[in-house]
Amino acid sequence: MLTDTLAKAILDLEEEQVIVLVKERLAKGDSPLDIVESLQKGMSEVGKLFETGEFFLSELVMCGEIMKDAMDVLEPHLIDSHSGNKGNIVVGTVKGDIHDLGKNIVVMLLKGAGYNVIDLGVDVPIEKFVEAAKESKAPLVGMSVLLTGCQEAMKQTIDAIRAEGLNTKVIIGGNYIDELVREYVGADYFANNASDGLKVAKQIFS
Amino acid sequence: MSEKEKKFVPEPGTCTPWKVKMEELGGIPGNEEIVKKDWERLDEAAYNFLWFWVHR
Amino acid sequence: MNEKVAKLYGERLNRYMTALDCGKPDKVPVSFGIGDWIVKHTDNNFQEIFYDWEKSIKAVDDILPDFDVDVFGGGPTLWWPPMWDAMGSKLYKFPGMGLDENSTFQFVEEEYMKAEDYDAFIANPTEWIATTYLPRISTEFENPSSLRGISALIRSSVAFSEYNNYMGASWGKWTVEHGVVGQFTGMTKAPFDTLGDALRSMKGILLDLRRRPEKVAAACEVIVPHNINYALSGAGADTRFPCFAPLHRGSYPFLNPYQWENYYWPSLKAVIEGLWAKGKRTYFYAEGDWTPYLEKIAELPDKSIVFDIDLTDAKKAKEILGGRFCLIGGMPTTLLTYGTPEQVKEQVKRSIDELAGDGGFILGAGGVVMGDAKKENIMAMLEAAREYGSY
Repeated sequence: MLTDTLAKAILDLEEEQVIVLVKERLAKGDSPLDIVESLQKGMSEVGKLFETGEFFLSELVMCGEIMKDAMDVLEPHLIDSHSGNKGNIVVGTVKGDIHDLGKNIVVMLLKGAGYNVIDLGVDVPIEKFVEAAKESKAPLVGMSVLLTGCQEAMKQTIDAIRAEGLNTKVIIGGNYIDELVREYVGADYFANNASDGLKVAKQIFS
Repeated sequence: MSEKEKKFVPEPGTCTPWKVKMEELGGIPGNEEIVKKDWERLDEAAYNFLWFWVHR
Repeated sequence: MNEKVAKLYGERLNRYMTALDCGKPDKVPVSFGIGDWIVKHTDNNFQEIFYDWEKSIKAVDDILPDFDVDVFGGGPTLWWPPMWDAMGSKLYKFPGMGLDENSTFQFVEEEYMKAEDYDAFIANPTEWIATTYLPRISTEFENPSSLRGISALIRSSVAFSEYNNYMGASWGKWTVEHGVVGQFTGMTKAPFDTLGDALRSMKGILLDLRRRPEKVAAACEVIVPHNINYALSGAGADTRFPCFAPLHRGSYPFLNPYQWENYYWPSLKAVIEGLWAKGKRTYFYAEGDWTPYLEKIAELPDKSIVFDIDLTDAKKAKEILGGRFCLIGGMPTTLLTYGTPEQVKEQVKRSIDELAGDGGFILGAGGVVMGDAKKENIMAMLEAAREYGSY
């Protein structure tokens, strides 16, 4: 059971109450990072309920929206606090694919879990993935894809990352992805939903 | 089209129903059926074109 | 139509009609279309196939003699992009126009209808579409009272009519020359999808369900008669063939059960029942997984739909809907892309064994067949359908 009222408000998807509580705690002088932690606690409960089938995509999308609004309030207060960062993860939708919903859910859950996510957006060229992986030295690169027709682009991107000799793991995510696709494009992991993706991240950063 | 233009909510399948047009005209000298047939067919085509962008 | 073609046409039509009515034809009917997987087997790139309708039709003409299907799903393109370009439509990016000339089209999802538009939409949807929505989604029609805007509308509506006529003529030719039986006539949607797909966007409508559920319900109710009308009018007078209904947000796990039962299902059911009352069957194109809702779907009038199995549990679909509704499916689209002809043949045999039973079954690919499907797999599927498909 959640005893934290803010985390509980997130779990109950009470958007107005969440914003009120965030502002109250800021006014009380609570550390913004503690507030983020409460938000994360609530969101992780939401993620669990999604995994067990009690919550649906509509709840996940609502939760994402509430988190976004809460983070907008918190952001100015967070600028100087870098602690609590579990590490860098590069995420993007592969070249030729402009779908961002799956990617955005993953990004939200990863950020919520305390990772520093470098979000490259959609239709990301191969070089951009390589460059970001190099610069950030991220141990994990996530590629999102909806269209099966874009798997060649995914394969080429992964080949390019390997060719640079980067020591980074690659996870691919998408509705139609399975072990066959993972093997074909040469990724290390695959996920069909955001929570599986989160589990892989936990494993890599542990 | 003038200040006489009526306010109405068109039924599905229509944009400017013949009925409304007739009310505005207050009747025509010739055979109504001849005019009405193509009016309604083209009006429905206009309706389908508009809703196409929603159903796509 | 010569005698040979007429005989073929008669056999195919009979198989399709018998299966739609849950009966047992001489063979399991097989249904398939020419998707954009054909592009790589032509001398053209995607842009040429999408933009040049003669090339697109030729691609179909070339393969049809070897394409032994009972129910034909149509050619490689859904739309003719010049109609969209004329309006400067923001809704799609097409090959060679916003996208690489070798990629397929993609939808650009935005909240083209804002939350504050609900009241105007509900009050007079056709008016709202014409005066608010169209200028908003069309860069060439931003100013409807300018020459640029007016000419855009004229160009696009001419293109709409030209293309419809051309496609009508092509289907006529395919029928006369190859005995082709079409899969459906007309199209419609679930009102919730009408609202969620092109108007409010997926995120928008999912949030609406919490923030303004009463508006969602009211808008869906207003859409019902329009979606009935759109299906019938797009089909001409035809009621023999079902109307196509691509269904989206009703698949698991978008909505929670309460939302599904109260906001998705009632208006879709009303459309299906309204069409059935006029003798028109709905092609329930259940993209994704609909397993949790099979019991509710079973409440529809007998035979009022043909249910397309994509990721829905096929055995459960047979168990719950079988006998009262025709089922179509049995070939996962991923197998057509990643499998081998042998695997495809095994799957056809397995699906026919499990699902064909006493009839009311059509073999087909559930969901959209993507551009990377392999032609040899598709041909293997059609072959195996004939090999194992005799009742």
